[in-house]
Amino acid sequence: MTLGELIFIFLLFVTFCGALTTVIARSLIYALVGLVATMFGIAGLYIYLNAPFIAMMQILIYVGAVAILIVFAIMLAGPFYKKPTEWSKVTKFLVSLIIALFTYLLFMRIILHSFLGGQDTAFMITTKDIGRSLFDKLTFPFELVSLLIVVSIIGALMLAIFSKDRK
Amino acid sequence: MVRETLEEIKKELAGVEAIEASYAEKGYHLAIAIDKGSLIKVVEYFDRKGFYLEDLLCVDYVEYLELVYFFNTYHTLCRVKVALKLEPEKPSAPTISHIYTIAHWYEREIHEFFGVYFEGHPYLIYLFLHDGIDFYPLRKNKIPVSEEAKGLLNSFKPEEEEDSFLVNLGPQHPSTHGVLRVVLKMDGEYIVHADPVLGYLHRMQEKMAENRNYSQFLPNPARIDYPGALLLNLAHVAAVEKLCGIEVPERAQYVRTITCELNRIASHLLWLGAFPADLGALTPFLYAFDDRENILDILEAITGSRLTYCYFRFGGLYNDVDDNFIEGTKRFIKRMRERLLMYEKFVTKNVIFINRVTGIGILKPEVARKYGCTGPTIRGSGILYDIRKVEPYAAYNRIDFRIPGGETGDCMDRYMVRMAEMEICLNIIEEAVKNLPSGPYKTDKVPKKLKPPQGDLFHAVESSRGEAGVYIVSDGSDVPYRMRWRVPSYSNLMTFPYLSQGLLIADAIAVLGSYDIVVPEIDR
Amino acid sequence: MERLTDIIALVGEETVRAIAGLIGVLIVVVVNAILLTWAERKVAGHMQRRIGPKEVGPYGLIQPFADTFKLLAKELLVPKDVAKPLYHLAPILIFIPVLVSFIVIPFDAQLQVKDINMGILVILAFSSLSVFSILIAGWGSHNKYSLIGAVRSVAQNIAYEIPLLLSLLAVIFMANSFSLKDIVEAQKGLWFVFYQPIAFLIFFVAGVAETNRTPFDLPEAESELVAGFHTEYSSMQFALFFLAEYTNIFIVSAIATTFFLGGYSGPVLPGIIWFFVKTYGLVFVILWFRWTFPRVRFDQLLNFSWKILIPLSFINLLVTGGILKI
Repeated sequence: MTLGELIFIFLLFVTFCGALTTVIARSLIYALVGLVATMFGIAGLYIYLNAPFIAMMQILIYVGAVAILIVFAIMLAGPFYKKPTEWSKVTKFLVSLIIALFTYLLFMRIILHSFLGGQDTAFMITTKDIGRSLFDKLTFPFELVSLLIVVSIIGALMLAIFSKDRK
Repeated sequence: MVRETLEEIKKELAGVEAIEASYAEKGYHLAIAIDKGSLIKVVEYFDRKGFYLEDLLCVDYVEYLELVYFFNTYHTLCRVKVALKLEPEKPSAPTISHIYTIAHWYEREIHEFFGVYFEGHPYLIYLFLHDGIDFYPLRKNKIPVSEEAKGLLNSFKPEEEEDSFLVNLGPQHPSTHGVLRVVLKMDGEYIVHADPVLGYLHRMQEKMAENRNYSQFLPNPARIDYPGALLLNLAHVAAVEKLCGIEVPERAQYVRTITCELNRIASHLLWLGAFPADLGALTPFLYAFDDRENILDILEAITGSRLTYCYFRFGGLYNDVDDNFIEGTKRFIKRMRERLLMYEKFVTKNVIFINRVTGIGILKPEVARKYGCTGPTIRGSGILYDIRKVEPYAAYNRIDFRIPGGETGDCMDRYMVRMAEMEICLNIIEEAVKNLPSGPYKTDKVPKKLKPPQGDLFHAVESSRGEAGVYIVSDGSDVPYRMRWRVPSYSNLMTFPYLSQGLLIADAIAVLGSYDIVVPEIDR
Repeated sequence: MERLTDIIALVGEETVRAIAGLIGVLIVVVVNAILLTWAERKVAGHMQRRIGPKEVGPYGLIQPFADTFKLLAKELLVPKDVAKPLYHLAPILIFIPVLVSFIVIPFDAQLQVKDINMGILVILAFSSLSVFSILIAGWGSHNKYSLIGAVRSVAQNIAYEIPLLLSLLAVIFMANSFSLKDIVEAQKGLWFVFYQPIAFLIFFVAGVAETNRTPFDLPEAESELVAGFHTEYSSMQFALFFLAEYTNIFIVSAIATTFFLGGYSGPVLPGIIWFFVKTYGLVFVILWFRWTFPRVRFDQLLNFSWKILIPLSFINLLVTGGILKI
């Protein structure tokens, strides 16, 4: 076993453990710590795949922004958080089964039909390539996404303003 | 004013017994004796007429208890004593806390110390004595506290509700200036409700006074208000002098004025250090202490102590001032004037400071009256009420000075008033030093054992925080029968629950800092 | 000497470089923190008309060591009811971004642990971890003051990370690289602070806010929240938070130096001296702020970022992009 393989196994381990904690943990904040560990593991895998830019973006966005927003939400609800009514074990099992199957099928489909399928060498993506594809090939979807974000920001602002008025 | 009030009372409040009292002997103008039934009517009358509740206290005369309400106005001096006699067995009286908000706390205090039950009071729990009491401490006889009353006293249990949580601001907190505790009910960073909890520094000074003679009590006032020790020392000394009819020589009056004003500046400097520190600026603290050090040096040379002064004696002073004192004071005035300009440049004009204090904690004059606020706190709201002007003591009537005032009554105004006051204090000192007469510094006619004649007396001085008054009941012996301290921080602080409502925690700290509260004074 | 080259040949140059780098970084972190605690006291002292430490060692230079030993020797008090794993994880976690950031900072033309072409992204990405650790410190402490401090910290971080990124982006446009070394090399002619004065100011203000220093020290505002998120920490755990804070000040100043003040470039003196002179100059300014300004209020802090800094940095970015294209 080479050093590289060892690192790979370690990253897998971190990702997997993090994911498991996220799902199993009873406390929200521990689940979040698990999620952050997963994100770091995935970022490590990206670096392993020679895509440092995506790895850094993964950390910057998922740890720096998404995870922190989630904590923020948890903390705002925190001291007065009431536990929702528990589901029965059977319902829990069924729901998780459905979600797992759905995700599995989705991923299988993507992997089987992926344009990367069949290549066995690691791919090289530079920031330049990403920028080019975002602004040349995929301009329309990119703009569409930004529009979606603008709409959601405005929506959030409206919600905040109206809920403030109500108080 | 007094005559008119008397006639009006006779006209409007039929059946109420009102007589004019001798102000020179008693310290109040009108004495009104009422019964339980007419209390609300009388209090409502005074509220209508724009009086503020100066003090509310209780005296145990063994055969009966007497509730004493002092009313006064902010524009002219017209002190009215309203006395209500109560049964010693299970005493009770109607509450006036819905008319004068400050009575809420005064009544709690009386309930705790005398066992007077106030009908209709919403929250009659302990104020000072946390550990629970077995006997009412200020009653002359040993009256045990009934189980029922104990349950009522100890019913303080703040509870969290949905959408809010409790934060204990203090008793160990950097910006409560001592051991004040405020229970804050918060919604996120916003304060929903604040409830001051007192008593962490309670030493029962009023009971102490009943156990020692007048001169033995001399050092105690300094422990009530430590930053302004001389000012309270003067309140006690002047009250006893008035009670015994002791004349004070002119030179002593002038020296009293000078030292009191020096002490006032020292007290304001302490506040000037603490207030920006509450807002996060730590440097002014050391600059202000540097200046304060100069005053302490000057006062140390003549009084012998640096903080808890006891310099005034009945009929004069402990010792005379010398040329060093005069020179030192003159040098200090010169230096302080320059320093005030510097403070204005560095603190008053700081953009962040201005944004933090303008428009925060606006105290409207009408609200201030309901709480009986005094001192710079109400002068910031535009009520130019100063005991030194309306009821001059020491040499204040021989010196011309102006009373600074604010307009909106926010933290900035209270800050500006204190800054202006320091400058005016310097002018007063300068003039008093210039006119300092020669002559004896104390009278020789003071007996060793003071035995004032029977009677009562209220005397007030302007301390650095507002009106500090002392009410003495004498039974003819050398020990006061009852000594009651009316302290300014008490009524000023109680506006905090009102002002802090809906404020951010940072603003609430600014408001708390702008009162310049002294916890030992509140707790006594 | 021969044996040294043998060893290097044996384990590979990369590994030796990595280990040497790690040791070097640790030394810099510790020495810097010690120097800064001393500097902070001296600066504070002289600004407040007093002398500051002077008893322990010449000019009180040994004072920080004495303090460190004192902290090390103290008992590690863990309050009741804390969430233990989180409570103990936080002070360790806050140190990771600090160490990682040092890897990419070029102290001199040759003195850099590793020149990664994503340099600045590494620092920015990992800096988010420090907020995360403040959060779990606040949460794990089981204290309301800590919690309020932590919540403030997040809101502040979200608000100031954006202008920080945008102001750096303007420089990245000009240098056309993410690598810190390339950015320094691009300033051989004229420092970027002259091309990008607005970006420099925005970065510096946002940087002070990100490091939780006065006037933006709301997460640990002592007059409001006692000590904020580290209220319940004692002994070495407290020292770690302290160390991280001072190192963060250094890192922000170092990035500002690298991006705007020409990094290690300068005449006559060797590069490393120039780098430290510039960096500590900026550090001094940050210390200066602390002893002259009161603290801003929470809403003022957020308004300042959302209403002034962010629009300004966007405009700056647009103008920079436009000028570069023309």
